[in-house]
Amino acid sequence: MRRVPFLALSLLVAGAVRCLADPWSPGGECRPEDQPKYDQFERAVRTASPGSTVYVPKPYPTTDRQVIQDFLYQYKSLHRERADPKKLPKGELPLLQGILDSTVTFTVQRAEDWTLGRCGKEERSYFFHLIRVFDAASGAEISRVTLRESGLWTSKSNYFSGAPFPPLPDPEAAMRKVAAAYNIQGDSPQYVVSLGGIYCPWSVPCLAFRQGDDVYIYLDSPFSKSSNGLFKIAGAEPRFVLKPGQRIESVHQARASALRTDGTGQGQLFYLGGTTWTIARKVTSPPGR
Amino acid sequence: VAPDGTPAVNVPPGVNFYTSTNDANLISGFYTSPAQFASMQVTSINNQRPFIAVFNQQHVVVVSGGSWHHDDNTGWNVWDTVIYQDPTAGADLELDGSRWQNEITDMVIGSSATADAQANFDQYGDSVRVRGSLQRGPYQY
Repeated sequence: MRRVPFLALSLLVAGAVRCLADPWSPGGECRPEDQPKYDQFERAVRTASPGSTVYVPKPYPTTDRQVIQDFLYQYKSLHRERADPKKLPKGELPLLQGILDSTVTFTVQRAEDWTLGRCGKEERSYFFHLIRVFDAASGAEISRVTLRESGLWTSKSNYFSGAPFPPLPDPEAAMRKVAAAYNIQGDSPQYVVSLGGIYCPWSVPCLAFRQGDDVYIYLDSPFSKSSNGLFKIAGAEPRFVLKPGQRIESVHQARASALRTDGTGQGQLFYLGGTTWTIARKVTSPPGR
Repeated sequence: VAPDGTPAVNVPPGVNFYTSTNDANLISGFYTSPAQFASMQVTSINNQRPFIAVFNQQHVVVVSGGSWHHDDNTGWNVWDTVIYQDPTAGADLELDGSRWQNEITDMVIGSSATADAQANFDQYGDSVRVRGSLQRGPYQY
């Protein structure tokens, strides 16, 4: 079997699509008063030394090659080759062996961070680098990993159960499908991670796009077919802003009150970043479609 | 259960009713010190008792393990990752320690499994660091 060296990996990576369009967000920027601590965190990452809990060799990576360098450094620092295999996550051994033997290839894509961590307790991170890891010989996808904007490792999901990873929605195909089913012509599609009632986890981000002031989230996951569909955040949808000392229950109550007032009763609470939530409503296909 | 889920307060009685657990409690991250919140999680897993964690008060996962290492150079015990089971996204997913602490707002956890959480914190708290974080102890429990 031919071993694929890192140079070859970079060729594959170079062909990957990193960014679908200029990134955007539906609002909810981080609080200005938190900026000093975010600046402090960024300085710490940029100046960290090996052994630090925030060290990566390529802080705030700007190329796919740097992203992969950061991932490999952090993964190898876990020294999973020394761990009891029974205690490793399922599907870890093919990933571990593939990395140690350099028999894996990578692609890198960008997914926007619309989770609580976007404006985190220490770090601001507007997006993730989504790394897909493939077995070079078979082409099978064996893991999905995300690093945040700083290059720090965030999540990992392994293939192990006989079912392949769900494909990421192809933006052009998804937009055509949406146009046909809902008569909506959107633009600026991008992958997003969101952990609320509309659940778009790190390994299976959703596709979001815009039409004028409205935002749409397209969820098409084999894991949650009952939750799949198209969700709309209207530009005029109320925003619920968490005040100092309040906790998230208050925005749940605000959502329930808004749904009672407009009489619809249906709508998912959706986090916009910072301290702001809104309502996303499921879109139904027009009759005859 | 309503199409958009059930309130978090309904989860502990559900756990107590449908499983062999009889001491599940809903613990809010908002009203609990971060040190206590984290120590309860680690203690429960160390006692081989999974617990339920809630992302953004809206999506629950079951935590089954994690990983840590001792740094011989610094003397720190570094909390690296959390391993959890997600009914929507799959099994044995991993999240790094710092992002985990950002995303988890609540948990449903057994009282008996966390009884020695404070003792564990008193013994280890000062030496614990979290991967991807600058937090430094000692913390208030």
